[in-house]
Amino acid sequence: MKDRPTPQLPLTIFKWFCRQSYHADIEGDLIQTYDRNLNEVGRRRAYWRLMGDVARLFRPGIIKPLNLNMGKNYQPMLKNSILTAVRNLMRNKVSSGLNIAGLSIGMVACIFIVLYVTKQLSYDSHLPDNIYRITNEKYGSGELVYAKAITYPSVAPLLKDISPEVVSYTRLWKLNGDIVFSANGKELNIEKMMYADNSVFKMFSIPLVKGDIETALNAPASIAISASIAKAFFDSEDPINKSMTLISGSDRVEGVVTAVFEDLPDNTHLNFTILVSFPTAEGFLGGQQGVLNNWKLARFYNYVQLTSADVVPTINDRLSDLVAKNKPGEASGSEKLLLQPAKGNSPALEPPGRNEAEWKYHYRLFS
Amino acid sequence: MKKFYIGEFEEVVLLTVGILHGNAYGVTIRDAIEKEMKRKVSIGSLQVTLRRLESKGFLKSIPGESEEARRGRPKLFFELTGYGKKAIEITYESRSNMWKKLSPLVIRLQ
Repeated sequence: MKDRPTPQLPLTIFKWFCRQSYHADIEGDLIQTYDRNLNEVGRRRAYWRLMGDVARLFRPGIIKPLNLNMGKNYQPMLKNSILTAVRNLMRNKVSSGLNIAGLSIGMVACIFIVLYVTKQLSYDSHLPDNIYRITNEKYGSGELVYAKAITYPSVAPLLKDISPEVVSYTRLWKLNGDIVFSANGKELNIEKMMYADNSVFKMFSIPLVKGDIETALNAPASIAISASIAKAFFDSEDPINKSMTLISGSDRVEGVVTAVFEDLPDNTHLNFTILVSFPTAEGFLGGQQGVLNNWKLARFYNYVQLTSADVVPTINDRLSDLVAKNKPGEASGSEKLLLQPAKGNSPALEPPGRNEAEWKYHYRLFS
Repeated sequence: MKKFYIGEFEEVVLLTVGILHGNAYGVTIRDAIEKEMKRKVSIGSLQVTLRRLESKGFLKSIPGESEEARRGRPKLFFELTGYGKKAIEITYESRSNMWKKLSPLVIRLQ
């Protein structure tokens, strides 16, 4: 028997995957079977039967367990380290308690700060590029008296007339106090109502759920409402072309719903749930002819979209020209209109001075 | 009773080990089953079953000497333990009880 060599390959494979304690006698069985087959069916078929037997031995009961730590045995060391650590903690209960409490408070504080700063930094990041708000600074005897984000309603339209760099503009006007809206037999006190130019949807990329983005706020007494306001007033009914009344004291305006826009995210400085078309303002709430076109009533947010950020100095120059031309009575340099980027700016885009300070703090937390 | 529960192939293997008393190792067990049951048994399935029965305590293994006929590899003999005997006994009794209750008519019915 010894003169006939055993086939090495199948037995090597078997040795590789088999449990060591099972190996010797199963290999004996394999070889005994192979030798018998050799006599009965010949070398080639005996070889393939051996291969088949080895393949069918490759199963969970026979395969040796995976040696995951690759021969290095860290468990006793780790066990010992943990045991030592626990014993030390137990021996110095007070100081270890203080340590653990301090560490966890520190971690929690760190997580809160990161969450807060991330949220702050996410403000207005979804707005389109190159949108600027026109801010208004007043100086008295060379010193800053105030800086405001609101200015005169004529600024943006005039600026667009003389500047090809201005792609579009939109104005927002927020009335002081709440307005009652009545529709579908319901009355709601709306705090976040604003007058707006129709361009507001395109400029800030506010998607309309219903209504025509080209014409929604063009006609007087047109009203655009957010999706959640639509649900509050009309539930699942279609709000388009339903009538809606604005009430403030004895002042009433009969309006009609022309559009429904998606709710604004909470990390934007834009803050309105109902938009009323600009021409409506002339006949409502002390509005008069010319309220939308003057250099006196500094209550309007003016936004412009520019072709690129490079033209900002040019536009700022044009703004000072406009001031000089339209407010001839003022001393030169006593009033300034300046562009302020709307994107990637502050949480509330409030007066520029305060803003910058807040921003410095947000970045300092990270550096 | 539950701890004596064994599967069909396990029962066959236990019986075969009993039949081959004293000469039960891998090759002979396989040959005997193939002869008695007239079916093919792979070394793999037989070995897995043998090791499982051993770990359950129905079989015990006795290492043999290395042998010239197996090119120096040892045999591993298997033997029934008391548990193993009890297990096949219980299986047999429960089966024959059921057979007694089975009316011959039912089997002849076609």
